[in-house]
Amino acid sequence: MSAKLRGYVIDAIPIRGGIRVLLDDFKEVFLKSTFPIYVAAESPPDFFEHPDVSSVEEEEWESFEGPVKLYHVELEDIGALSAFRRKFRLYNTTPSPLAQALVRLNVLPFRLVEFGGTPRVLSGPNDFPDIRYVEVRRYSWFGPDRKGKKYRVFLNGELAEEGEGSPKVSCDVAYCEGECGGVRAVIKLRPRSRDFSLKADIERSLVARALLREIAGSSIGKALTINEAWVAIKRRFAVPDAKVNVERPKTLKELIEDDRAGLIVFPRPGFYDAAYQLDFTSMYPSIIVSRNISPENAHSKASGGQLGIVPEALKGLLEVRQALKGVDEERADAVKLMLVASFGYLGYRNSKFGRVEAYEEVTRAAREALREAIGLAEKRGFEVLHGIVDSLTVRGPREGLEGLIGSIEEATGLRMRVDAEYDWVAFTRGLLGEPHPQRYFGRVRGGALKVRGVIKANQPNLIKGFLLELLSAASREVRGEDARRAMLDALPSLTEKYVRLSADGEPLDYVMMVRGTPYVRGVGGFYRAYAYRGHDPIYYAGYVRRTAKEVRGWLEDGI
Amino acid sequence: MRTGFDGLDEIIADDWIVEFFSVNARLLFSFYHRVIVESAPVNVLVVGERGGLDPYLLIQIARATGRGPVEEELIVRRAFKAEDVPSSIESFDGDLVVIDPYHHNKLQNRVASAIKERGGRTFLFSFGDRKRYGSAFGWHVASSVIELKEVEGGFKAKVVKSPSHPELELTFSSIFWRGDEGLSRWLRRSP
Repeated sequence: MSAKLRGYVIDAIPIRGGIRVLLDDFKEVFLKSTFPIYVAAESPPDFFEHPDVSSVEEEEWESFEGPVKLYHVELEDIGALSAFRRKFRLYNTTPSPLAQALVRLNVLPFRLVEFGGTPRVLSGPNDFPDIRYVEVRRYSWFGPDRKGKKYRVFLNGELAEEGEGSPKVSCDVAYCEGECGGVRAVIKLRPRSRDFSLKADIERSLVARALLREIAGSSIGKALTINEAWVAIKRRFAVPDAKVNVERPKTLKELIEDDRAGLIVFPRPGFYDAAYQLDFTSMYPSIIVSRNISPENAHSKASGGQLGIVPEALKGLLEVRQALKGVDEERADAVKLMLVASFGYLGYRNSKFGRVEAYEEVTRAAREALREAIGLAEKRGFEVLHGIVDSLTVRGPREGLEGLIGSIEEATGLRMRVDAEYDWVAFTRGLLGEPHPQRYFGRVRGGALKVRGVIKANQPNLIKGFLLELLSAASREVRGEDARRAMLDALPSLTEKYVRLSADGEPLDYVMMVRGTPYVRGVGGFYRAYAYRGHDPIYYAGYVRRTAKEVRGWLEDGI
Repeated sequence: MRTGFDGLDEIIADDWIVEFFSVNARLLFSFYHRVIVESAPVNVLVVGERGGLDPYLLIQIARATGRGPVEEELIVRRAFKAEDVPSSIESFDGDLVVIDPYHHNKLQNRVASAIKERGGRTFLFSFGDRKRYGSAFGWHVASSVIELKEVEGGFKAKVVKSPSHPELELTFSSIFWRGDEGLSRWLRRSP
């Protein structure tokens, strides 16, 4: 009797008559399989005599247009898919026919599977694969640079090696920037986005039951859509390639009322002591699930008590995230990003499960929930300082906080938590004196700073340093008024220091990253700073002074 | 349906599908908002990923021209992607204003076909130079085509295609002004 082969499923390559399944440690197994496609046609055309067609069955499915007759075709060779796509309208191509064939065989990406007989999944649903995964990241003098000569190799998230040129490493999965001829991996991919995380993508591949190569390099919506498509297919709800949306007609009045974003409560600028920031947990996904908002029932409430496709898919993600929190924050965050994207994709025109009415219903429910929370807070003697979409900052008795949260959860059906307990929090104003709801900072109990919207990614490093030093001066104080005084006192000397640095700082001080590209302002204008070629000290000094003036505007009027 | 500019309305009075275009986006934007208010009650289809219609401008124009509230008289749909446009056009009965019908630069013949097959009067508003760009079939489908240009002191409407009038220009002092018909009264057809 031959020994059974076990391994983590890393990749799969469809070939005629089956699938080459690539496992960790360069093991491999071949499984016989056909590949399912679903064709919309009135009657089976002659084309079904194609030599790659293994079988054809007529099936009734539900769809966004109502009941639809589909021909379920099993292909010997997945290469025939393109010929069918040219001639017919296809459904259920998401998840891919390869992914559907694998799941049918119980061969799930990044799970430990035993082969020999019927494949059997051995690892648990939330287990992370015990494999070697490597990220090769490139750097230049100014920081991360995909074309940089220097590299760092991260093995399973830990820095393993750094150097210049081409690293040599062997692993199961690799994301590689730049020259990677020396990297030996079962699957080696080039990350397309600047902010990539291989661990996060492996997690999403696990959750979506899709091969890494199918989601790597795509937006987060791809994993999200695949996850939703699995739910649809399980219900025999046909997933279209491109969904036609005809919006429900609205009067102008309805359009004005419906087409709105999240609620924002403009703060009164100033420094406030002893405040609490309360956040609804995963607000939008929770609303989608609890109110059963889904594109197929967006026109009516008639769902027969069944959870819609999108809510069911998101419920699964919420459960996975909950299970991972406290176990592995990185993995939990990977799933969180899918949840964060879920609302946007609900309204996205090209989404397979998008519908603008569903999107509008979510924002309406969110506005109502935040208004409810504000009303309850004020009723319980709290002062509402600020609100933004899913978050509320209040001041009031600490002992009343739990009761407030409980009452809000009961009234809205949504969970809430204390995101920050501030010793003090400061809300800023714009240059014209208007309150700036998305820019605030505060000292959290324990002394750490929480800063939002003040330090931006595309500011020169010089300005970031300036602001950080100012905020550090404030963070040493426990009371808001003292923090304000400290910043005011530090402002002149720090301004002078950074104006001097505008002339004689380090080259890195003058770099600003704009969409991943480094820029420096030279005497002749901005240039891409892959090599430093001087800078314009007058420009940077002016930037420092303007920033100082703006900060002074936040501080001088006091509470 | 009417534009609110008497001379122009007279010229297009019998035309079933009228397309207005302009390379001046701001001019066209203001113009069709005026047209929508003047034509209310009317259906409106906005084609594009975002924007295209300013509800508050419509309310403002209605108030400024003494028209009365239009919030309940305008029925609006949006077509965010090309595939949505033909079906959205087909979904309306009666008169229809379509903003930027060929915006997506895809499926133009299907869009034009949907416009042609409609049962009601249709006003189209296209950004850009339609003499050079956009759907040729759409140009053919339109009964009349009017080009809008900004001029000093106002704007002019140039009739570039019409079944009943030669190529001519009408000048108006303001989008939001009610003026008289001007020399166009000489173009009135004899009874």
